[in-house]
Amino acid sequence: MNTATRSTFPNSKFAIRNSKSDGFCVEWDPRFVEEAVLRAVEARRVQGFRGERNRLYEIQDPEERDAAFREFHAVWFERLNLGGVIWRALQEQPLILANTRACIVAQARASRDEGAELFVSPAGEGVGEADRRSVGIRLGPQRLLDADHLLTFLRHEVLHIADMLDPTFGYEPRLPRAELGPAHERLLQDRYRVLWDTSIDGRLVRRNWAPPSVRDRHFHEFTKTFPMLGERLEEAFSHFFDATTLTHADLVSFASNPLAFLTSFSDPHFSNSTFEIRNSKSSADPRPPLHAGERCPLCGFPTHAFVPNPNRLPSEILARIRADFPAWTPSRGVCLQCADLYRSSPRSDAGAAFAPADSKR
Amino acid sequence: MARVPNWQLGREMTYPYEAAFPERQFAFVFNINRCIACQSCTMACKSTWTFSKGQEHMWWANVETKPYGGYPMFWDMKILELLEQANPEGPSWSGKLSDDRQGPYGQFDGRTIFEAERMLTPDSARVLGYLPTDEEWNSPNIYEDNPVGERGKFFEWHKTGEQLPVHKTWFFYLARICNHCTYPACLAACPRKAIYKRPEDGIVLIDQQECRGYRKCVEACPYKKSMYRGNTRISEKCVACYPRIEGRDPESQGKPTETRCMAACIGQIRMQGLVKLNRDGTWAEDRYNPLYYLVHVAKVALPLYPQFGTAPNGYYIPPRWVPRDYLRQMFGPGVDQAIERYENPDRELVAVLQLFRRSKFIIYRYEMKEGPKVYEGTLRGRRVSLYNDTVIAYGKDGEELFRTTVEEPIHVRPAIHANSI
Ligand code: SF4
Ligand code: SF4
Ligand code: SF4
Ligand SMILES: [Zn+2]
Ligand SMILES: [Zn+2]
Repeated sequence: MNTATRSTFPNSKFAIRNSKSDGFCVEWDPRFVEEAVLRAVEARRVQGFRGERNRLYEIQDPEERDAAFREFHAVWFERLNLGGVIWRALQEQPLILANTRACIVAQARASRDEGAELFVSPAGEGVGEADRRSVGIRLGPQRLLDADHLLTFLRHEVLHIADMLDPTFGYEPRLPRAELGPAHERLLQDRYRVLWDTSIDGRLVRRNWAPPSVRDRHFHEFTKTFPMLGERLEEAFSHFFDATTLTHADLVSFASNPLAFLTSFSDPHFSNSTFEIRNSKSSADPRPPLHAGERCPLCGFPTHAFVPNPNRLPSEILARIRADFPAWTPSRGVCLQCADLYRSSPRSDAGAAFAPADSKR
Repeated sequence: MARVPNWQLGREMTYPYEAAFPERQFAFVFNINRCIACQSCTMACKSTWTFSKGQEHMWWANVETKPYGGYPMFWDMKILELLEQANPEGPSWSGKLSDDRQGPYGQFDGRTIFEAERMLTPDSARVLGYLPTDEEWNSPNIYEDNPVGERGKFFEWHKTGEQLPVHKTWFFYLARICNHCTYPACLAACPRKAIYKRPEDGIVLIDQQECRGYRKCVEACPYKKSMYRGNTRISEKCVACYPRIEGRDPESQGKPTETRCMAACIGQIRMQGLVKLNRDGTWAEDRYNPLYYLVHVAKVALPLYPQFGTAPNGYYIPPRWVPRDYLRQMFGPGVDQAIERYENPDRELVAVLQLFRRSKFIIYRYEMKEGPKVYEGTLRGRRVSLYNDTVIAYGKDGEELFRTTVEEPIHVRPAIHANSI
């Protein structure tokens, strides 16, 4: 689940609709329906399906044949109750039923594209708030074969949507601009996602909708995302996982400045230097490793791509860097772009030797 | 299940149907050492056969960069991994290379995709395979030109990475089409028997009237050369440009003509023909057929992943700069001998290599006429002599198609206009 809107969904003109709830409907992408049916029929060894389907191949007109296939698969989708689990997850969230027009279910290209999104169309005259909103769900068709796992996954996904629709959560589609530029914006997004997921799965576990083991998995992710919290990690984690009410603003403020958030606890431990912000001028080495999103000490740009083991760079490159930055040591880190630049500098020097005299400086 | 002879494996294997061999078999040799990945072959096929709605993801002919590239993505790694699970003791070859046409590469002792019963799901399936995802079909040229460096080194290419005998920094281009296998996995898997192998030329086709889109062939073909078309709900595959093979295409002038992808090859890596078979499926002796010569006499051309068990009819001259263990996995035990001979060609091999792409017509026979010695010297410590021999190619009815020499003729342009043509 991302805060930003991703790609668009297949045109719902071709969708198969079915309405079960007042004013709210689910639209199924025919391709998804067909794939799901074919897989289910094979996995469950359904009798009679193929014979019936094979007859459609005899329809001569291609458009007519295509329409017949769509219709046929829609009927079997219903008969095999493949959409039931999606309906169930949606119906558990009255906020969604009341505040959106439809849910559109389509096929995910890859497992990393699976999830739910909220789409909001621009305000138009005579269109109510709820009619402008729709939910999109993307799934691999084979997911429908394992309804239990899918339900857990969907409950998580639709809770994101319910949060977005919940006025007390106060969702904003854009995160605040990070002053350090795009790399920091991504860092902020990543942290925000971890916090939101933690809070959602905390709620799911308390409702017995997710296994308790989920807690450990999230704690692990939390540790990797907020290593600067040191021994206060568990406490901060619980603040999100065990919270009953959290708002969008709470998540944003923690994500923007995890250290400041912790110092707001009145705990004597917090005055010490464990949480010293690391762009202070101290030159004492060795330093703790750089985290994604921090600035490269050479070019000064925030980056997510530091050279993993700078001390293993070839010695000529290290020497070239030191020629320009005498105080630099490998333990201070270097971004991949700077490393590339220094790696190619012998070649640019060699090239310069061939350049016409007047272009040399 | 029947027992059928598979000469590429040097043994019999199980196959769902009894063996039945065509009179002649569509076959080809690709010289990987020459391919430049210009993709002319790919586009020749695309623009002939797969330019319609619903065929967007289909590339019956494709060229992928090994080892990382693949269309569909990672196809060979995936099937090799499945085969590894089916062969926990490790798939292995025994015996020696020999001149026996029933087992020139020794014997493959592992299980083929037809022999992995305990891995099949559902157990009614006949062939070990998998169905690629949409995403895997979507990037035919992913990892193009990505080389492999030294293990564990991420920031530098090897200093002498480009030196022979084996490059330390390497990749190569693998051009692929359907192999019109002797034991097609696609055919074996089709529950409707909609796939057939033509008795006259061994070309494997999907009957478009009979196919009902079960996609079992897509799942079963280990080379992933059978493809499903979503809007017709029918599977399609390379048709070996059969109107050209039959000489019925307007371009053919009534003569058997090589396929579009062969004829378009800029790198001149491709030669395709129709080889004569014995009743046991081995190649009938046909000493002066260029394919027979390359596969069974010079033994420079090897089948692609013979261990799959389909007895593919595409043969490759392996790239000489690539680490041998990788090539042995891909082309079997004949690799070292093939490269050794390709690197140190005898007089006949040098001449036969000139036959590639001098004409679009299928060569049935060649003849050599000896010419004068034109060079003598040392190469990698060996004495070499080069002769300007002439090689003559003949067509189906014994008519001469063309003749060419080892040395290319040199034309000297008068120096009046430096850039005139
Ligand atoms: S046309 Fe020939 S040289 Fe070009 S990519 Fe295809 S096989 Fe390689
Ligand atoms: S390569 Fe695949 S599609 Fe072609 S004949 Fe062999 S098994 Fe069938
Ligand atoms: S033989 Fe013909 S149909 Fe097959 S890949 Fe080549 S061009 Fe395409
Ligand atoms: Zn989430
Ligand atoms: Zn930098």
